[in-house]
Amino acid sequence: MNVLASIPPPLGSVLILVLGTLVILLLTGRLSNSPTILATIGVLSLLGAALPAMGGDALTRVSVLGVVAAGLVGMLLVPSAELHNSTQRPEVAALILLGSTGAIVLATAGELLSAALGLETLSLSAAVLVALGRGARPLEAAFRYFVLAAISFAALVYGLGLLLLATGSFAWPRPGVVDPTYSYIWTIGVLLIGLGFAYKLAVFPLLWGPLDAYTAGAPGLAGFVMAASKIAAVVALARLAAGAAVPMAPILIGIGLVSIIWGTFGALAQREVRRMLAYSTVANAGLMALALGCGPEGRAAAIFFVVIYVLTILLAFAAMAGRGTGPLPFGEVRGEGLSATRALGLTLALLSLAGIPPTPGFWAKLAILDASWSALGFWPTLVAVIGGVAGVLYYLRPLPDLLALTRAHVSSAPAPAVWFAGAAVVVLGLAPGFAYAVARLAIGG
Amino acid sequence: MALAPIGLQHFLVLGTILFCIGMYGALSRSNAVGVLLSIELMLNAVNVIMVAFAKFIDTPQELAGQVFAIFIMTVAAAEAAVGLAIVISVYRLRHSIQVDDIDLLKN
Repeated sequence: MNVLASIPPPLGSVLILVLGTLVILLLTGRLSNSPTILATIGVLSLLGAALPAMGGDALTRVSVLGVVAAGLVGMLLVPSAELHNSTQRPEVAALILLGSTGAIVLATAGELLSAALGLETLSLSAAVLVALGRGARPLEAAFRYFVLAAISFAALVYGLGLLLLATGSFAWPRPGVVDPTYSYIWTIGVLLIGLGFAYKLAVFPLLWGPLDAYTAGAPGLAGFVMAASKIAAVVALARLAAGAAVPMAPILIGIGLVSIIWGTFGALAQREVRRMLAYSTVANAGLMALALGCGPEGRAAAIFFVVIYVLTILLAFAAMAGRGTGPLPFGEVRGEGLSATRALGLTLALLSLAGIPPTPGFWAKLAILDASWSALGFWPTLVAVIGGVAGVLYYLRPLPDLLALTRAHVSSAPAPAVWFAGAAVVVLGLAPGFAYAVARLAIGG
Repeated sequence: MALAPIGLQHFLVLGTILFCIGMYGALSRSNAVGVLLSIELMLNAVNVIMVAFAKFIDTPQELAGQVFAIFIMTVAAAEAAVGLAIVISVYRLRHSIQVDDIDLLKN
């Protein structure tokens, strides 16, 4: 009993997820024809993993619950996932659990070495999840995602090496512990580690692999990859920026502003929904990076933003799940035959992503702008505001067709993932203050 | 003329050069297997630096560099397995492993 009590909360979550993975892999033969039982085992593993985290600090709770939410939506979509080979559903479920494990380790790691291991676990799981989608497009997307993930991982471990030289340990950076002789090596090391984490956030210039993965992967799996990666990356970057504000803050602000501009123009130029969502995620990642460079208030705003953003984007991808891995042009949304539930879910997600009040996306963007205004002043905030306003132009383009679909009577299978993600978005919209208070607590404010 | 003894700086320079060659190869090779080999070169460059740190630097964690090198070798093996699996799947679908032929998503 004492042994169980002495296990740190994140480790307890990881052990339960690994146990669930092993169970699924051991029963692969039996579960390949029983998708409902498979999803049930996966969901129970994820819910079980959330329990130990409740005993941890606020950052652990936010990280684990965010990752578990992403995993739950992905797991609920496993039975209907568009796979190249439908007998691979158990592998997909196991990879979702492994990816969740990696994301939790990355976000809650006690040392940077563990964080690197979590990052790689998440990257490899994500690449294979994308590759298992139906058709050639997911496979090509997976290759590009994998190559860039491997390069960014190599940069991260090179940075870890430099940090070991400068400080003698793999501990998270802290101000004032570096020998002045090694300060420049420490700075380069921290920046390379930040580069490795930033790839998971999909900010400029590390965006081509994630862009393709979000565009071409099976929607449910791509949604999980995006959500789990972003939660873990924001928490990891927040921890890095807290201990190494000097090199990290200006870099984060710079790449944040460039990402907002790049993502906004990219999304405006798209003619199909998924590519537009992929580019818009770069603009949103830019907002998060900008906030991460704005001190403790900004880091709290970034945590608040990522929780809301992740649940909203999960809702959008869950609503599009089951329609294949091909593009969804704006002009063909009405002909997709989405059920009213899915059309309503996608409508709610797009309204929230556009930041229309009183959706939670509005409060998330407001928190970022407030932090940016306080820390950086007029011009950076103006760029963020313009990025936010331009979002209305591209997010709301498919809205008339979606509203028409909500009134149509198209029958479809139940969509538990849409209901779950939709309920989470509505709850956050009703109580944004509570979520923001939790985010502040997580940052220690 | 006596040569200067090999020190940490030499290994740092060697590792950095290898890392840069690997990154150049990963970003410029047209053959997908060549890209994977370049990534391995980047990771092995880190290994060179880590083992050198373990030999030349006095730290409270004496074995950190060597343990880290083994850690990277393990991760690199997993990475190579996944990478080759993806490349083989791409070859089965497209009958080519030239990166330029992987172009369905270019727009």
